[in-house]
Formats: sequence, structure tokens, C-alpha cells
Amino acid sequence: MKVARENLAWQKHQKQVPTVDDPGGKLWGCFRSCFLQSAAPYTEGIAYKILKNDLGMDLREAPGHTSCGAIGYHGDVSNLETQMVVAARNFSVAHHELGVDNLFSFCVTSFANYTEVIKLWEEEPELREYTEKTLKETTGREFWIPHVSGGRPSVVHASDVFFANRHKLAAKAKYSLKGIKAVDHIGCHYGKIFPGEAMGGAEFPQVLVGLLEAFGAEIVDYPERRHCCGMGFRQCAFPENRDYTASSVYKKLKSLKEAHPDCNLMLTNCPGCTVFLDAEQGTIKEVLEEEFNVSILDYAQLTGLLLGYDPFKDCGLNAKAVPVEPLLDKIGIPYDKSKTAEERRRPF
Amino acid sequence: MNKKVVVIGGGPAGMAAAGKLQYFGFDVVLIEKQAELGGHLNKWYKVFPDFTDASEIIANLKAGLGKTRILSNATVTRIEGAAPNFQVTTSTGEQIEAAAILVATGFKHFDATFKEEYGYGIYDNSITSVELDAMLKAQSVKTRAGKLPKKVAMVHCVGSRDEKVNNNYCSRVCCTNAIKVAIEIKELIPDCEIYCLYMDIRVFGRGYEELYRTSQEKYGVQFIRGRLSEAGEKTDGSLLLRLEDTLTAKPMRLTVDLLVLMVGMEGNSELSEVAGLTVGCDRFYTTANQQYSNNASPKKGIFLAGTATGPKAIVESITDGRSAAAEIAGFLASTAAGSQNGQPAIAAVAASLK
Amino acid sequence: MGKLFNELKQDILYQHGMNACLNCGVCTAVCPAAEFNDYSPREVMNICQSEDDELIEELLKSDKIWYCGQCFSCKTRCPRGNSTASVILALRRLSVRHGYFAESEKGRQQLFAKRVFGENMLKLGYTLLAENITPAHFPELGENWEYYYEHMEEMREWWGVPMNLENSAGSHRVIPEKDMEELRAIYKATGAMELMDAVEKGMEKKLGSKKEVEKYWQTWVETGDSRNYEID
Repeated sequence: MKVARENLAWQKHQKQVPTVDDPGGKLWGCFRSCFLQSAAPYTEGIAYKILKNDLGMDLREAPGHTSCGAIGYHGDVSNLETQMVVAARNFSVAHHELGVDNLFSFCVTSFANYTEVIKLWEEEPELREYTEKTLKETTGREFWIPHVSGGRPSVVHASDVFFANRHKLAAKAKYSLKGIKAVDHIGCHYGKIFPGEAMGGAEFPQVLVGLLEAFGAEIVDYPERRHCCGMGFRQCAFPENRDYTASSVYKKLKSLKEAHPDCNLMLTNCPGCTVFLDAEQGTIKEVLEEEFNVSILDYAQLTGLLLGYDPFKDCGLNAKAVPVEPLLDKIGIPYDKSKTAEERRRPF
Repeated sequence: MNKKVVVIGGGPAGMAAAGKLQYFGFDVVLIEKQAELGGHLNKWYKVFPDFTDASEIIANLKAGLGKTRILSNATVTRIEGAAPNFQVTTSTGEQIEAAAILVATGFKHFDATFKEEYGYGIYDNSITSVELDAMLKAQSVKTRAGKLPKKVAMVHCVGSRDEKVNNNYCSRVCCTNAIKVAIEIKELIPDCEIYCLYMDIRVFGRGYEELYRTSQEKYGVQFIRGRLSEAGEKTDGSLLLRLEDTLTAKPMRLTVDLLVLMVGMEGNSELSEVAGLTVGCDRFYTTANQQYSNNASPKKGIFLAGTATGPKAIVESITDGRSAAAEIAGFLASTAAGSQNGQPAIAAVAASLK
Repeated sequence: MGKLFNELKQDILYQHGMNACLNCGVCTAVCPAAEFNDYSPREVMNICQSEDDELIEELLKSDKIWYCGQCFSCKTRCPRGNSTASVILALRRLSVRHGYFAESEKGRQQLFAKRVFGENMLKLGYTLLAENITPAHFPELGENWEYYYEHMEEMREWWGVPMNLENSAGSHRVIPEKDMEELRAIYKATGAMELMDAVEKGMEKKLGSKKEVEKYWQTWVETGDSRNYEID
């Protein structure tokens, strides 16, 4: 089976994301992720370091940017109209206050929500009119639609930016994933809502596979790869619903272990997936006494790791429920073996 | 003058039309882009509902061609003029004077790589109905690893009735075809379990419903009402299918050794610009009226037949070809010089063109 | 074809998400909620398609519409271009506006969504805050999480994303009040505040008083399980 294959059907329709060396590819604006900041704040930290220091990106963020609120939207506390105007406000701030055209978000739900409203504005002029009018009335700001590198109206996701620049990043890597089996897991909202906006489509997406390949990993596939991780918004936020999350993670990892018992690395691009695919392995271990020991890393953490950043302080791998040391040993990344596992994780 | 009737496309519709037209006495030139006449019919093994050999049908149609001039390995690159004075230029550099033109260029198969979730071109054991027929012709249905399959699933409506691939129409024949190939596999491998995964069973033609019943009663083919959502590959090459059995309202998983995708028909609109033809939303050629003038194109003197205007079974293409022949003969009769009361004898018309 | 259905039809999310269902089942085939619960996206689409107010009301009062995890696996595959996940969003809002959500156990959880996601947005401009991810509510985050929760600020400093600063690239940057006012104005003008108020009102009506609603809320905050609150 070939997962990292020539995605012929998609090549004609693939979205274009400029590298930092392409014209207009150095200046970017970004939007933060509520969930990352609450549960996995280190990801944005390491992503920032990589984008600014290693890629030389001019990365800007406005002090007045708010969350897109899409967790609230999918959690039924805001309306579609709310999302349109909040997005318009954020876009307006980015362009008029920061002077950026290229925008990416760290959260896949933000990416999907912004993409949704941009498409609505393009397809339904009355909605665009409504948004322009309401934006003016509530904030006095001018409406503006972002487009990546002068192209069509769109925003992209942070993992798209990493994918676009993967060769440059691989060239700077101090370590490689050669001989290591890895599998990808894209966030549902990255690919499933608008498959045309996902790098490589929704079924065999290339955004994470491309990154893994650039680092030399052996890509494998398993039947439940496309199954949602189970984050589920209200399902993971309220403890009594979290059986949905745990069951989804169980289904996926069981299928992975059956197909590839020696695959211990899963790469993600969604904040929710990164946290829950890892955390629920702890629940499963306690409740079902089954250990999967699959390390879940997101694109920024993995890139940071391979570029030589500190696994714990920079990449935040100390917060994982699944111990990451075996993976570090496999890749050959050094860490302070004189300290105990707990000492490495609790710096104060 | 030495005007011909040009038939473009040597499949069942084109051959049937050419045969009839030359029988009426016209000089017919049949232009076929491949080396052999027959079109898709050359690939098939046996056809539904009575398992006639496809080669028998080709032989019958070929025998009827009579004095038709066959121009193979050729396409039409230009059509100029207006009926009944067309100039047709071929890719071989020939210029033909034509009084009427019949476009019978047929269909092309849906490219199953667009349904990525079915893994065609990615997984070893995901094949199309076209590839399966080739296996049946060779009387050897095996998995990629060379083993006899124990479980086979046929997926109906691949590339049809599907907004996601922009084909909102039904391809008409795939349901009956699925039942036919299911029976053929059963005859080859009696112990093989076969599952037809369908949304509807559309077996409309004479003998088709009976074939459906036979497949269940005599051969034990299983029918599950649920569209295949996705296929995943296991390490042994078998495929894990996810679908819902909508009749019992239960999501289910099914593991099979071979997945057969019943690919639909797509319009072949290569001649639109050259012949000045338009296509409908379904990307098949538009006819003058889909109820009572389905062999005429909106352009006078250019006619249409066969799957060029929509999915059809083989018998329907043949019938449509002959119907087009009648339409063309009638058209030429009405335009012939010296016609009286608009209805001269066909033979006199034919003679007047010579 | 009744009042309820007509209201549903007005919602753009319903209009975009429902293009007539032909019952093929691809959605239910891949829906995680259908795997784990007595739920079927295909069934939801059919109930809406029936345009039967009685059936729709029953649906809005049930747990069913709250099982969906919004993964949109249904949207990717539908041959009619439908999106049950979008229809679910329309149904949930309809349920909240009419107070029906309070009739079901899962529906009542909407109070938490409102008080966490909604109020966080209005107060600080983020749907989730570091303080929401408590070790008590998220035991699976591991034995170290209690430590990280206690040392919230220091850990973020250590990781290079210092929190609660103004105009910073750190975590939970403090958003200026002027921008927050703009956000609140947007939430008001687009009906989000009204939607959120409807949740409080609906819960008050169902549980009998504001006091009972607070009791319900506190039960959840303390035990992580709203079922510990006895409902008659």
C-alpha cells in the first residue's frame, strides 16, 4: 500500500502556500488557539521560535485579536452571524493594524470557521453585506478578506506553513526520523469540512505526511486513520461525556496496534487531537489496563525536536501522558538522563 | 457530387446505424478512433441479462455493415459547412463531403481515483468493474496476492448519483451489471461470499428483475442497503469497509478480500467544439428534445445516438443507432432535390446523391 | 409542515446542510456518535425531512441532538452534499430558543457550555482559559497536571509563553478593553447574547428557580458529573 503516493487527482487543485523564500512569503499574521493556550501552551511557543528564528519569518500578532469563538459556535453559544462578524473584525485588525495579507491560525477549528465565513461571503453577497454593515456599526472597522500571497480569498493553518517550508526545515534538522515508523492524524476540521482546502484532500492528506517524509520517516497506514479522535467539543469539555473521546481514541489505537505494532509515533496538527490522543491513553491504561505507548506529537513539537530544541523546555514534551523518553532514545535525541523522569517534568 | 453519411464512432450505436444506413442505400463512412470497431464492447465478457457473449454482438453488428467504408485509427478534426453540405476533415488528412453526420462517440468510464476513500490506485485489492470483467474473461478472479477471494463486495453508484464528483445522474446499467458479475463470480468460485452494497436496486429492463431474483435464490448473493462510506487496508491486503445497513439501521464494518467498484458512465464531449454540440448539466450531449426528438442535435444535419446522449444498455444503444438511421434517412429525404410533397422514395433520394 | 419546521427552515445552517436525504447511510457509517450512542445522523435528517412538527419537537427534547461531536465526517462523504453536523447546529439553536433543551440530560449541559465558552468569550475574549482545565475535571491529563495547574504561570514562563501579559506572544494575552467592548457589541448585535440568555432562562424554568440552577451548576463544578443533581 502506498500512502505517501503521487496524489495525482489533487495536484491540480492543491492550494498554494508560499515558502518564506517566495515573494510575499515572509510576512505572516497569526491567530491563536484557545485550547492550546489552556491545555498545551508550549506548542505555540515552539512554533513561534521555529517560524521566527529558523525560518526568518516576520510573524505578527495584534494585541486586539480575540479568539474566533468557534469552540463556542460548535458549542452552540454563538450564531453563524456572530462568527462572521468576529472573523471580519479579526481580519480587519490583522490587515489594517498589522499590514498583513497572509494569515494562518493555530487551531484547525479556527481555520475551518474562517474558511467557512470566507466562502459564505464569496457565495452569498447578502451575507457579506450584512457582515460589512454590522462590523461598521459595532466596531467602526473596515471589512477586508484575507488572501494568502495575493491569491484567492483564504486563510491557512499553521501546519500548512510548516508543510510549505518543510524542505528548508529538513535541511536544518539535526536529527532525522530515518528508520522510524510514523502515522499522521489530521484534525477533522482541517480536512473534512472543506476537503478542497486541505493539502492533499481529506482522504489521503499530505500536510503531515509531507513533513514526516521530509524528515525521513517511514509512513504507514491503518484502517481507522480517518476516525475522529473524539475531542467532540462538548463531549470532551464535560467529563461525563468523555466516554465518547476515550472510545474514539481506543478504536483508533487498537486498529493502529493491530496493523503496525511497532509504530509509536503519531503526528497531529489539531490542538484537541494532540492533547486527547495522548491523554486518553492514560485513561485506557487505568480503566482497561491496555497500554498503547504511542507518542502523539504535533507538527511544531516534532519539528522543534528534530531541529535540536530542548524536548521538555522548548517542545513541552514533559506534559505528555505517554512517556516520551523511549521515542527520544529511538531517534537519538539526548536529554538529562541523570534526572528522574519526574524531575525532568517538574522543573521547580 | 458524392455525398456520404458520416458516422463518427464505431461502437454498438455507430455500427447499428451505419449498417442500417448503408442498407437503405447511402454511402456510409464509419470513422473509429481505435484500431478495432466495437468500442467498449470489445472489453466485455458476457452481457446481461442472458449472458450473451459480447463478441457475438460485435460479430452480428459487423456482419451488418455491408458496404460501409471503415476508417479506423482516425478522428474528426474539423466540420465545416451546413446541412446537407458538410465538409468533414479527418486526422488522417482526408476531406469528406457529408450530407448528414451521426455522432455516436459513446462514453468514458468514471475515473475511480477520484473516490479516494475507496482506495482505487492505492490499495492492492480495490478494482473497477472493468478490471473485473477482464478477470472473468480470463476466468481467473484473484486477489493481488494471487489467492482466490473468499469475500467480495460490489459497490454500486461509484461516480454516479454523487455530488462530490459532480455526477448527479444515475448510470442506469451498473446495478444490473453488478448482479451479472456477482453471478459470474459465484459460478467460478461457488464458496465466495458476495455482498452488493447498494442505495437502490435499479433493474428496469426486460429480464433484469428476474436476474436479480435468480442471483438471490440460486446463487445466494447478499444485498446490503448502504452506500460504502470508506475502505481501509489491513496489513494482509484485505479491506475493512465502513457502511450502514440502513434497513436494520446499524452502522457496520465488513472485511473483504476484493472490492469491486461499479464505475459509472461519463459523457465523452470531445467533439463539442468541432461539431458545435452542447452538453447538459450531466455533461452528455444535448438533444433537440429528450422526449420525442432524442436523435437530433440542436444543429441541423448532425444527429446523435448511443451513450453519447446518456447511459444506456447495449440493446438500447443498438436500438438508438437504428432509430438515428431512420431519422437521418427521413431528414435526407426531406432535403433531397426534386422531392414531391416532401416524401420521395428513399431509394430515389439515395440515387439522387450519387 | 408546522411552525417549528418553518422556523428551522429559516436557519441558513439548515438550508445549507439539508439538500434532501436519500438514506444511503454514508454518514451513519462513519459517525463516531452513531458508533457509541443510540444516535444516527441519517435518522436526524429524515425526521427533519418529514417536516413533521411533532417528530421534530420530540427530537429537540431528546438527548439525540446533543450526541454529535461536530467532527463533520458526515459532510465529507454525503452524495447529496448534505451536512448533518450543520443541521445539528440549527436544531440545537432551535431547541435552546424554545427551551426544549432543558428536557434532556445532555441538553441541560448547555448551561456549562454557556457559562464556560460563552462567558469566557465575553469576559476575556477566549473560549477556554488555563483555569478551566482543572485536574479534577481532566484526570487523564496525568499525575503531573496537578503540578502544572498549581504552577500555571511559572510553567508558561518556563515554556517560553508567559501568560496574561498585554501585547505579548505569550499565552492568554490580555486583550485591551476597547477591543473587548467591540467583541461584546458584536455578540449583542448578532443575537449571541440572546442565545446565551435563553439557556439561563430555559434552565430556570425547568429547574424551578435561579437557586436550583446554581445548585445544578455547583454540582457539576464540584463533581464533574451533572447527573449527581437530582432531577424530578
